[in-house]
Amino acid sequence: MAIQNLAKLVIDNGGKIYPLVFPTDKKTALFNPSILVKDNEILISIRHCQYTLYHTAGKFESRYGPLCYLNPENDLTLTTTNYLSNWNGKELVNPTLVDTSNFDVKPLWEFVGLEDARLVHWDNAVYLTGVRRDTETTGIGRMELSKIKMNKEVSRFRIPTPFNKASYCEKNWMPILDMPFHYVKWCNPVEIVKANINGDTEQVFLGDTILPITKDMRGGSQVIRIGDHRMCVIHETDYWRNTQGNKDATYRHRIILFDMDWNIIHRTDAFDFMQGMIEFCCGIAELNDKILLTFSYSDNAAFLLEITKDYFLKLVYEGIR
Amino acid sequence: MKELDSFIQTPFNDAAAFDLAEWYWDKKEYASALSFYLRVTECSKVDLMIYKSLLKAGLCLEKQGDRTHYVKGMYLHAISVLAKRPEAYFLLSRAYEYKKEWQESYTTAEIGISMCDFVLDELDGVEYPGKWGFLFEKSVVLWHMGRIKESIELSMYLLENIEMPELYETQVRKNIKFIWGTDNWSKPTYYKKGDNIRYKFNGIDKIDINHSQAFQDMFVLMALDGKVEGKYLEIGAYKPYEHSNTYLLEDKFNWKGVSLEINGPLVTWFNGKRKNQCLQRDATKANYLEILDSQNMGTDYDYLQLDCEPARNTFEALLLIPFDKYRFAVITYEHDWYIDVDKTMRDKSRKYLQMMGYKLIVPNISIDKENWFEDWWVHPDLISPKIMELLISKTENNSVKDYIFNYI
Repeated sequence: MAIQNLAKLVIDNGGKIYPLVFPTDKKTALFNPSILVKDNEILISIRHCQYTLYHTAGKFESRYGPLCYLNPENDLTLTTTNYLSNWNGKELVNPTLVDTSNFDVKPLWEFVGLEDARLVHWDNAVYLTGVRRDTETTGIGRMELSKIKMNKEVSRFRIPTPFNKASYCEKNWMPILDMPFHYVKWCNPVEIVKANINGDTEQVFLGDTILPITKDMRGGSQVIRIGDHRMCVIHETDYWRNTQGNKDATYRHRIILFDMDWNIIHRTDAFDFMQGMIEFCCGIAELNDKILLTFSYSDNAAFLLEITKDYFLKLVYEGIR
Repeated sequence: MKELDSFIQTPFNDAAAFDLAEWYWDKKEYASALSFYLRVTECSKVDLMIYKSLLKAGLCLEKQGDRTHYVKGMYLHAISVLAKRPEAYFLLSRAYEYKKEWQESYTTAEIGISMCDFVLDELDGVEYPGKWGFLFEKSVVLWHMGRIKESIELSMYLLENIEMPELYETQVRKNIKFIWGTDNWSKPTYYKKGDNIRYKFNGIDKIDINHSQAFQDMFVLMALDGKVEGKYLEIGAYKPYEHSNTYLLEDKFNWKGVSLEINGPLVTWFNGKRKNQCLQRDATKANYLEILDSQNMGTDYDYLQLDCEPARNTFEALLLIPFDKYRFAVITYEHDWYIDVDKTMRDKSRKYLQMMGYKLIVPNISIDKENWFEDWWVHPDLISPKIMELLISKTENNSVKDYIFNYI
């Protein structure tokens, strides 16, 4: 059974929710935030796009249906930039545009920039890792790993696919925070890959169990370790076209629990965060006795959900089934 | 944050969604605001709430820039919800104007003016300035449509009759300056007690400050040597005090009279403030014989003011005055030569008034020595020849300050 309004459940049980906002002159969407706890520091990355997602479940559809990207009329690209900020427990502190100028080249496709970046801290360096699709005229997407120092991108590595070199778009790989350069590439069956900087990508694990479910379990947040388990937030999508042929979609999330051998030992019921149809989570972090989840609503607003660890674990093990 | 907490508790409550949208709006987070305004439209059963949210969603897209195609869609949605409300038509007309779709902008403004119920309480926070906003849009797009004269007339009407916010007034002035090359035409100067003027009439000590835009009230009193209990017919009254040519006469010299004004709210305002009556009438269609007869104040009046916009309306009103029965000692006639694109109305009015037996003693009054807008006339049989001699101007064009103060 789907769980509606996780945020309400969390708040009613001692949690909190914060809007992730900061002044920009861009006036368009800040969304898909990721979070990382590193030593005594909490970092949050936020994606900015120049489009605005129009989504309605009501009767006032856009000219192109209920789900539509509203671009500026003079810019039909989907251009992403990323901001990096500290979090002081209440608000973003000193959000700064990540400077990618060391590696910027003329984009060759209409999706520009590093999309849905997750924050990781591997080998004493902070990285943003997400998909980039602007390097070829066909829009082929590959996961990339960008090392960030003082808000500046100081290295960029485009991660090869481990086997299928012709695959069109590799995205939503979930970085495993306690295993440097490892990702959960797929969940069903579980596939773990390791990115070797400037080398080929290795498949280091492929599960032999396939769950009898129809929907893909797509990434997702980072994968974090709590005790003897690893866990992450994944999403599932329903896409359809209405009678006029216009597309619509819902995104629902689940928390996935792995044992240390990468067996999926639990998969919660699907949930939404605040009863939006289009929501997306790409950040999870443990901070003392709390779990922090970062997500976006309708690609237009970013939030941080603070959950007591006890309640989070209760939700995972007992509450959301 | 209480707006967010409230939304989380009741995510399909229209007021909660609206409050959250407004919170983002205030922070200029227009994409976020848009999503929550859309939520209101999904869950509200209150048409006005839906309507306002659709307008705000459209404004969010406007703020983001370069999305006019979608902006228009939002305003069209809003019209479909409450088709008699004016705000959506205004914003749609403005959106067309921004997109340089002049004809669509003009037509939408016209439909708005015709369709809407302007008695409804105005919605705040949706950038709707009031009914005159439609006139503003029309004044802008008319110029682009090649209808320059109408554009000028509307711009002038707005500037002279509407108290606009600074942003709009500045824009109107810019538009006028663009068309004419100057906007320095209407900075009034006032008489203050003790000023040395052309003729110190009886009772001038009662006056602390006058009210006319260009000393018309002072001219009337000079011509009639400060007459007490005079009589007037004022065509185009405008406001009760500011720029009024009759308030000083009524207030300090106990004149009686009747005023005409086409603008209903101004008439209500006037009658709430002034002792003498103001009638709501279209000056070009009024029955002046009936109006003057009903006053029962004899056939010799002391003052006739004619000031309508545009110039042809003033002339049409002039032609309706029953000069065969009624006489007026002083007439101030606003011919608006400076904005009369054909430049014909001034000469027509002059020929007509001369034919009626009046003498032009101060032609072409202006405030700025550029934009000549009015003639001042007297009836020789009703004015002291000695005073008339003193008041006759020796120049064809008259800066009013020079005429009143620097006459020597």
